[in-house]
Amino acid sequence: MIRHAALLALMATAAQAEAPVSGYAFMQPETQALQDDAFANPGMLWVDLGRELWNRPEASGDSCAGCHGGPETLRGVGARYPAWSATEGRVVSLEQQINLCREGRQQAVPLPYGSRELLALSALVMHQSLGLPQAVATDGPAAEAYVRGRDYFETRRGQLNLSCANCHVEQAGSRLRGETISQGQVNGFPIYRQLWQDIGSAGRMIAWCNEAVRATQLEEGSPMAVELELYLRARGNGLAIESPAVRR
Amino acid sequence: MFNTRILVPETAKAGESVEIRVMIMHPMDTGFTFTTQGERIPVDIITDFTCTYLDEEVVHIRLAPGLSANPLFSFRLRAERTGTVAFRWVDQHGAVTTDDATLTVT
Amino acid sequence: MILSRRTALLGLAATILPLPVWATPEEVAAEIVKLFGSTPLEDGPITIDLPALAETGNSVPMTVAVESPMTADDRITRLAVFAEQNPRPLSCEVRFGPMAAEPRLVTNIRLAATQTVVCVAEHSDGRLMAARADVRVVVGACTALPGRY
Repeated sequence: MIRHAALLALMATAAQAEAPVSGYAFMQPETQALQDDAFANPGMLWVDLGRELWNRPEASGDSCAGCHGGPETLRGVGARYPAWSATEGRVVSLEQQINLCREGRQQAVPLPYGSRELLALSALVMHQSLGLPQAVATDGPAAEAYVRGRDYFETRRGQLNLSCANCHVEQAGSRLRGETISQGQVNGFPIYRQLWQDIGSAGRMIAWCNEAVRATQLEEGSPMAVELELYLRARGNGLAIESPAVRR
Repeated sequence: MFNTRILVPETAKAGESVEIRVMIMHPMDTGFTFTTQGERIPVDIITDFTCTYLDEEVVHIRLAPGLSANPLFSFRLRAERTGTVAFRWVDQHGAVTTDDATLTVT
Repeated sequence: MILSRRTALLGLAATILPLPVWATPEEVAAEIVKLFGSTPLEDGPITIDLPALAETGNSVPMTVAVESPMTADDRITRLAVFAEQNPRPLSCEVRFGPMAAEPRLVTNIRLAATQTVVCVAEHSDGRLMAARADVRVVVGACTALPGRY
C-alpha cells in the first residue's frame, strides 16, 4: 500500500504531454555514436540487403526499381506511413504496402512479418527519409483509426495492468532499474535493437511491449497493431526519421 | 553467404597507416539464448576472419561467442604499393564468405 | 510469437536456473595459459578503451591498442581479449601479420555482467603483457524476458 501510494505520488509529479523527444536522447553516448556511424550502424547491413532486393526481378519480371527507379525516389514516402489505402479500405503499415506491391505488381508471395527480407526492404525505404520530419496523416479516412490507436495506447492491459501511456507519457524521463523511460517514440523504426541483436519493426516492438506487461499478444500486421503504430507515429509527427536507429 | 560491409580507402600514401573497417551480418548465437517456445538456440558463430594485403596477412582473428552479433572490426595496415585487400570469413560449418577491394598507393 | 503458459514458465525457469555458469578469474588464467603458455604476465603499454558504464552488455564498443614500433624483430604478434564473468571468457584472439601497421583492434564485445576485461599481448621476443579494464553493465528495465521477441 505504501509503495502504491509512493508510485501514485510519483506519477502525479511526472511531466505530462511534453513535446516529442526521440528515443535517441535516452541512449548513452556509445549507442548514439553507433547509430550516427554510417558504416558501423548494424542496421545498415539490412539497408544494403534491401538495395540488393530492390533490384531483384520477381515473378512478373519486375523489380522494385522497374517501377520506382532508384530507392531515393521514395524519399519522404516512409515518413508518411502507416497511411490510408483507398484500395484496401484501411490503414496499412509500410511493411504491408511493400507486400501489396509484391502481390499486386510483382505477382510475388508476400514476405512474412519479421523476415529478414521484409525488414531489409522497409529499412531501405525508411532510410531514404532520413532526417525528414515524420508526417503521418490523421485526418480524413485515417481519423477513426487514429482514435482507436490512441484508445489502445491509453488502455491498461496485461497482468501488470499497465497502459502504454502509464510508462511512456506519465513516467517518461523517470528511472526504471538502470534505464530512463523513453517517450516510446517510433521515428527510428525499423531499429537495430541491441537486446534483440537484430533489426525489428514497430510491430515487433509492440509485440515485445505487450509481452513485457504480460498482455495478450497483438500480432504484427493485425488491424489494431497497425492503428496503434499510426497513433505512435502521429504523436511523434515532426521528429526526424532516424531509420535504422540503434537502441539498447 | 552473408551480407558484408567493407571500408577500404581508395588511395593512400606509401608508408601510411590505413584504417580498414569490416562488418558482417551474422547472429553469433552464444548457445545461451532461447526461442519464444523455450527451445535453446545452439551455438552458431563465425570462427575465423582473415584480412590480407598484397597476399600477406594483415590480421587473422579467431572469433568467439563473446563478440557481439554482426561482428565489426577495425584495424590498420601499412600501405606499400597498389594491390588487393582481401577479406575471408569462415563460419563453424565451414561456409566461406569473401570480399575484396583495391587500395591505390601513390 | 504466441507464448503458451507452459513455455512461458519453462522460459522463466531457464532464466532462474544458473545455466550459463560464470567463469572465474582462475579459469581465465587457465585459458591464458592454454593460449599463450605459462610465461608470467607483465604490465605493458596496452590501452583498453571501454566505457565505464555500458547500457547493454550485448554490444560494448572496445578499442585495444599496444604501443609498438612493429618492426620485424620488435613487434606484437598476438592479442587476446578475455571477459572474466562471461560463461566463455574468450572474446577474440587476433594475430597481427607482416602487413599490420599497428597492433590495434576496434570491435564490439558481449559482457554478461559487471566485470573486468583482461587483454593479453604477446611480444615477438616471447614476453607476455596484460592490462585490465572494469566495466559496469546496466541491468535494463524490461530485459529479463526469456526468449526472442
